Amino acid sequence: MANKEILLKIVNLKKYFDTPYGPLHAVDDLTFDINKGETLGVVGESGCGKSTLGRCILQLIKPTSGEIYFEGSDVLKCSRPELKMLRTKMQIIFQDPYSSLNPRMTVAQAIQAPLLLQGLYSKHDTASINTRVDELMDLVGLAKRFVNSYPHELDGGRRQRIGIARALALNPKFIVCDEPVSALDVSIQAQILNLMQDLQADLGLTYLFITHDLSVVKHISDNIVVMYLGQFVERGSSESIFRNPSHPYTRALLSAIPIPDPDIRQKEVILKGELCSPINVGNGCRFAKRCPEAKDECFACDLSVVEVEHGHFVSCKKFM
Amino acid sequence: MSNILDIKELSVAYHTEDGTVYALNNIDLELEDGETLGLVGETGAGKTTLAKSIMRLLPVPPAKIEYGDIIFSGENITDMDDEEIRAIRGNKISMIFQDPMSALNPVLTVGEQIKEAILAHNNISEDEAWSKSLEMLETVGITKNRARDYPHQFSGGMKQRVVIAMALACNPQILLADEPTTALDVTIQAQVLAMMRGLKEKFNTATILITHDLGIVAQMCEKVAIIYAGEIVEVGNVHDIFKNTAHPYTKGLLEAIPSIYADCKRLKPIDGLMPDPTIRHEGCAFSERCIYCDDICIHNQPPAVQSVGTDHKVRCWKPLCSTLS
Repeated sequence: MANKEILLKIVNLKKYFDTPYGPLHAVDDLTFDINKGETLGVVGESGCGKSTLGRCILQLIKPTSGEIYFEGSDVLKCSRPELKMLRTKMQIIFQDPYSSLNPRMTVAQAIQAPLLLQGLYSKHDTASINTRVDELMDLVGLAKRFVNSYPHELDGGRRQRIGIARALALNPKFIVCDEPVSALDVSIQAQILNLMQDLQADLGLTYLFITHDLSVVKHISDNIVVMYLGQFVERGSSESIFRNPSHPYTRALLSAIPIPDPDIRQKEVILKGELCSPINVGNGCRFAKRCPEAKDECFACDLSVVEVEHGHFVSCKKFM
Repeated sequence: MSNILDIKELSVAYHTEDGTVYALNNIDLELEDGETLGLVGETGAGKTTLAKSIMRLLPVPPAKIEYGDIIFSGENITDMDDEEIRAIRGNKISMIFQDPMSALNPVLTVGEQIKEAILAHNNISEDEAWSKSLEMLETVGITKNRARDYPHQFSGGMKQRVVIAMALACNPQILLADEPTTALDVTIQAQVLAMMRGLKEKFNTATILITHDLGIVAQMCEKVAIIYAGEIVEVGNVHDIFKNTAHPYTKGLLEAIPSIYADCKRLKPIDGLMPDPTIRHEGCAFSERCIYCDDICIHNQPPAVQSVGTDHKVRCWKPLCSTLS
């Protein structure tokens, strides 16, 4: 597996939101790469900055500072026309298929919208557009009879398939998947996850897969980033993180998942407290207040990143 | 042990302009005193309709209890008039709703809201009710001095604790928890579930826990009922459901969850979708999606729940484990 090609490179990415109480550290100094054809899973609780990260990469939100390289060119330095071109290569699938689709557009209209917006087809060339829509619906497993249906006539799984078809319409190379299955039932969730894996294999897609569900992330990711209050606490290959979860937060997250087996009792490593405010975060480890292993030094020191295994990084005082 | 709740052949339908939705069909369910029953099913299977039928909170019309009885300690809830049901609702049977953000009144302090629930059912003074309200907050792990705070000042997990305090304030005999942790993060979910386990030991309230998360069921429940398209397809103790699965749908659900313990390259989804609830099916409701489906399944209703073990029943032509005669 040598010579992996880096598709997306993020360097010191920061996004602070101004609030009346001070800057909110949504994404704070993240650096990572995503290789072509791979999936990077981003896990964390609500409010840890996962979605902000995804949106910054696509320039839906302007980052405060940092660099984002897509195929070697700096996304942040793009002009508007260049950005528009770039967006054909980078797409997003949203979490909630109930609110991310225009209720007054039919399935066909929703899927062809990106084609028309990018000017790939002329508005009058209905034959070619219809062919492409058919092709896309076929690709995501939507039956042709839904072509003139409205979103409210369809269930969550099918709606999410429309979301995926839209994202694929422009033949992107990279897709940010922002909790694409968390609004779906388990039996449908498995259908969509399998579809996304098939599409990745067939079309050579690269995913940034944002989720709060560790079992989903384990299933779909090659590499994983665990985030806490805008920073990463642990990152590495999926295999390595699940075999050897090193950061106390990662371990707490893992132990918090209810085990679907009545014979195995849950270990009670219950995290005290809740995510604290990302405003005025101060020095020291941001997780220290909730950490079962925290010592005095954790609240003061600056953290640096430690490589515990090859390619597996942890940001915790314990390993320094 | 005695049954505190006995649901017999319950059928509920919603009569709408677009047709009749058969939400619950012939539900039989028993709940013993002090037991936790997990009610598992997908969106639209009828979980919440069942809970609302027990609470008599169904919007009538369009909803209508077509047939069947809900017997709560000897009395039939379906026959009660408004006054009788009000004496039970929130008092002897109470409910925790899925979304704590919308279950609380934004313009009342949390202490007031709990007090309100207590005063509605107990003939005590305001002061007594207030101190009882503070006591309930402490029981769910919220300090007394937050009683005068408003819901928006609490996080999601804390709000759900307030809702639980309110539900338990009148010491109910049955607690209906409708997806109580679905809106919460995993670490907060773990805290709330641990607290609910503790409360269970303290109050010994019979609980129906509605969820779609089989992990929560395995960790919290003694008994499990699997509901599909308005029918209970399998019911049994938690061990039988997980280890001696009888219904193909239950098996499908168990196999569809990605596991953090096992390595698998590909998930096994259940193909297809739940059938349209406005159409009455001739045969088994699950037949379209079932890999074991046969002619008999398509054309004939599966036999009413048959026993496959002690307290383990399944509604299927071809149960995956052998039936006891």
